[in-house]
Amino acid sequence: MFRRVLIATDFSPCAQRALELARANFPGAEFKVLHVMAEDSPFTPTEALLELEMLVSDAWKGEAGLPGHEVVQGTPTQQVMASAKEWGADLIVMGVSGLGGQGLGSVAEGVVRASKTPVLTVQI
Amino acid sequence: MFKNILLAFDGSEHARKAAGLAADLARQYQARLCVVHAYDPIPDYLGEPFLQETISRRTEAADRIMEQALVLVGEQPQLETDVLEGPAAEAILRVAEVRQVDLIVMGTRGLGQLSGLLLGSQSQKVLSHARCPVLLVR
Repeated sequence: MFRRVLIATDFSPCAQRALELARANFPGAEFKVLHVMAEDSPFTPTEALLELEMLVSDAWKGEAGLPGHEVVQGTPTQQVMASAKEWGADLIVMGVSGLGGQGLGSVAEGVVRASKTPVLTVQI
Repeated sequence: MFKNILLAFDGSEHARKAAGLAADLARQYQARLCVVHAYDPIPDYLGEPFLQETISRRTEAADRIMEQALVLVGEQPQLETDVLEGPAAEAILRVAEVRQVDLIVMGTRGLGQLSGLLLGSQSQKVLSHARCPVLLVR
């Protein structure tokens, strides 16, 4: 069904749920996990990459290969879509709200508005 | 795995794509697929005979849209349909709640008067309030 699934994470609990849901429901797909560092990110690029690596190796613990994962810098909405396009994703999975709080977050709304690729939003 | 999928269908181009995807998912997961169509609310200030006439016109149009949806989703392990009076977002959320669906599939933009908006107000409302994952298709 979906063959290339891009999971966008901001390290929020909601994004974590999105990752787990994607893994459970699309077992045959190839995954890529993306973190976009916005300007106001509390991390340095190295810290962000380390965090992402920990998250990925935790989620795929005990499996043969880890999925691709990448940290990019820029505007989250734009970078998620650019990455989906470049990698040829046929599905984007992300949390509906970000670190900010509840309801429809601005990044999810931005991606849903503009993405030509189907978007699966997940809540806690 | 998804076991109970809701497809929100308004006959728009985005909804037609969403229907194809929801149908494939339901077949793959052997899930129950529920197609929901909501027609525009009928203003209650309409007096007779206009009220009856409007109701039958709206429900006939709604039935035709539901027929289109059923053609698009094709053979399904378990198929159900719900035609409700709108607003669409409320109808979709209500069915999602009652039927305990675990996935809502819908188009990014609908028909309606504001179909020119990048994200339909109904889709936005569903996204903000749904208690299950939402798959948006353009």
